[in-house]
Amino acid sequence: MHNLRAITKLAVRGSLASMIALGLTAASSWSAQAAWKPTGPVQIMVHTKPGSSPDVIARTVQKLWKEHGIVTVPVTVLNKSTQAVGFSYLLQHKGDPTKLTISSTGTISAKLEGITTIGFRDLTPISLLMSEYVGFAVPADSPYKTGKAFMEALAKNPSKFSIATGGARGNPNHTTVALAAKAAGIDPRKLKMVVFSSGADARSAVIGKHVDAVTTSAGSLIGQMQSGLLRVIAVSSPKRLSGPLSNVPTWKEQGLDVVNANWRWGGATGGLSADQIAYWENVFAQTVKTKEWKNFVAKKHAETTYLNHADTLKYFQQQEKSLKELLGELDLIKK
Amino acid sequence: MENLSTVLHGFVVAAQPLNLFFVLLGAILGTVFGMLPGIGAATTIALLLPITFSLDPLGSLIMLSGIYYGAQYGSSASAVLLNTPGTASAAMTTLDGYPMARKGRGGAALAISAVASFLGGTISVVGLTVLAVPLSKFALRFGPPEYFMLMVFSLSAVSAFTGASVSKGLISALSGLMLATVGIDMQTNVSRFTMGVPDFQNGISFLIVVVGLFAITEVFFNVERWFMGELAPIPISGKLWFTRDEWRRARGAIGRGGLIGFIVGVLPGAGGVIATVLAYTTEKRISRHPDEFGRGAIEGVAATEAANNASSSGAFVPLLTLGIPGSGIAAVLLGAFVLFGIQPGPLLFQNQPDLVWGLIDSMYIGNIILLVLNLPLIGLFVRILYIPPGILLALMLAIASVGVYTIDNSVVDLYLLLGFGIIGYGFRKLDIPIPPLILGIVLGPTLEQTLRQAMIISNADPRFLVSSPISASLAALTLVSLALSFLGPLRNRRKKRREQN
Repeated sequence: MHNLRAITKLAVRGSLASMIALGLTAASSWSAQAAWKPTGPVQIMVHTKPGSSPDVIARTVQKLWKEHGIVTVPVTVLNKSTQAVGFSYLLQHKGDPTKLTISSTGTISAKLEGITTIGFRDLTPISLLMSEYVGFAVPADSPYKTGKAFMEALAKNPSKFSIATGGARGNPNHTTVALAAKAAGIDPRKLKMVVFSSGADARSAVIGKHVDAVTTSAGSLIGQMQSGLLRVIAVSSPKRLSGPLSNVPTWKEQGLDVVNANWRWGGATGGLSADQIAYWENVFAQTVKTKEWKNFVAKKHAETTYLNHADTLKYFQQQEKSLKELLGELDLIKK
Repeated sequence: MENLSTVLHGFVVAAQPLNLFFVLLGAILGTVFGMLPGIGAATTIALLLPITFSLDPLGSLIMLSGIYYGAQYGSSASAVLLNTPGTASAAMTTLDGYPMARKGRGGAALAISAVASFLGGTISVVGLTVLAVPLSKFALRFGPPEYFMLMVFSLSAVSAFTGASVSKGLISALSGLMLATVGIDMQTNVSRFTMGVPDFQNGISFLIVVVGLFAITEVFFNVERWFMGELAPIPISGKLWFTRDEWRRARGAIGRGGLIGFIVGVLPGAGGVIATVLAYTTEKRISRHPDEFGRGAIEGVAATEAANNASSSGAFVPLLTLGIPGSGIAAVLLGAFVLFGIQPGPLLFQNQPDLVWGLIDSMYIGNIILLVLNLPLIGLFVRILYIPPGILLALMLAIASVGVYTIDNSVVDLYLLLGFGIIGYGFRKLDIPIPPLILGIVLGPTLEQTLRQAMIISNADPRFLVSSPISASLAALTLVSLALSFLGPLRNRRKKRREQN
């Protein structure tokens, strides 16, 4: 950056010839210096347990960076217990371009809900990586064959139907049903949401018919769908998913305008310079092009929804706006 | 029951040299990482997961499963010798294992742990082989009301621990239940008792509480004894093996513990810790000398070790037959299956019998390997007790702190650890029993959440809690259990009066 300023100063002063000559040398030394690269170890902070989805993404990324030589310094994964703890750890290292994170939709919703005071503006979102779409399933012998039919029945008698979800209120599993309910003209607050500690517990509650439906990541429903235990009646993707879920209509096809996903993003702590951002942007762009990444995403039945730094920021702002409205309607915004 | 030849063919698959190597590797890794609190099976599996992508799926799954049940073997060593449970499900092992070590029977405690783990694990794998499919249907009948009544029933066991003073027992149990409420509430997203500390949002880790109450408290006590000049080295008395009399007391406990562990392991909503709590309290209640529990009763060690191993194999029942993990670690394993492109469920038994039975049969081999691996280590491990107290206590502190720190890489957890050490010291000075607190903190979260789930589903109708045959029977069992705990002391008092007359 200093060299750039020097270039302009010199350009004003000097003749055309010397300007070009100096400019060339300056430019070459600029590119050599300014292309920032990590020289020490890099840390990917994940604010979920080992084995959770963001954790596995981080460890997969860690492995393929090394194998493809995308990042040549050592990379470690650091698990923190909660988003609030993890993000405050990142903020303690503000301006340190070696403190990365892989995080999720919760980045925006937890801030809106007042669970943490640190939002994406305090950090440096680098790129949106992938989206895991949300599936809606009922027991295999349920009378409801489509998501729309379920919502129509629910509209008549909201207190009769309970819907299981894993994790917490306000997460994409919950917001997807809330959006579907809204689209069907139901007050989303009237939904009887039963929260289980994991998606797996929520699924088993539906298979055992203790609740009427489950909303959870679409990929996790495939095994039980194929085994004839569950019937998946809607997915939240913009178009049909590939593979075993290709027979399941989207909410949109069923006339309810719902597109929603649990997305994952990669980024760093706040206060990074433009060339540091450019470096990591390039790293993530290369990451999503590798065969290993594509395989990994396909196995999870998710989709790579890569966006660069600028578009990721725009996407976050837009998500923040729509989530704020929806979480407000669900009484989840802290006043 | 599956076709016998498919089951037997699984042994052929499991006994292939490469797969045998993976069983051995898993067993060793599990034993080693199980010893240190904090780095449990879940973390080890998650760490190894990306590395296994490039390996053979069956071999990898055999290894990762080996880590899961192998960790249950390793965790008992630190529980018995250092009063520091290596995994959450070894917490109940410390109750009698450490007192046994203090009486010079550390070798016997470790030997019975290894044998009980082996037998419990094997009982459970047999159950998995024979009953997987019908049992998984039974497990599905457990919904929020059934789990709630199961928790109530388990909690009624507090009465077995109250000892001389009911109020002290209740203080302890209620403290446990209160601690269980800390964190962001699952149903409403409201922060409870977090006091603005973000580290408390996920609640207080059970492992921190038990390591604090057991290991740190023990360090404090030993420092006190040292100042009083009472700290004597622990002599190892007798053989490193258990005596015939000890075996006679332990064998029934192993059978019952294995059975309880297996059944609780099969239930997706109840994990290894609840299995050990139930197995331990069952033994204490049916024992002819319940007073010895907590003072080095070998049945206590045998039952809990059989139960925690049995529960880890039991968790494979819903995992393999339905694709539902029966515990947190099984959930990480399910993630591994999916990343290998394998969807567990009834179809898996039809489409890939070699994989399913190769994996299940590898557990028989794995348990034998673990037994053979762990028995010679006993002689080595008990030497830890010969370390001079000044070094041993420092070692305990170091293992406890490092272990707790690795759970979430959090310094706040270290303060909590110290805090629980002080609380444990106070409890022991005031003669307040600690097991009820453990029961409270283990059962509390499930007790509360399943009650609220049931209330949401039933539109707040309390009758819903006893509306199914399973939950009604559990409610009846709770009443019986409470009645017995009132009748017991009454009978004793009458007996004493008669003797006095």
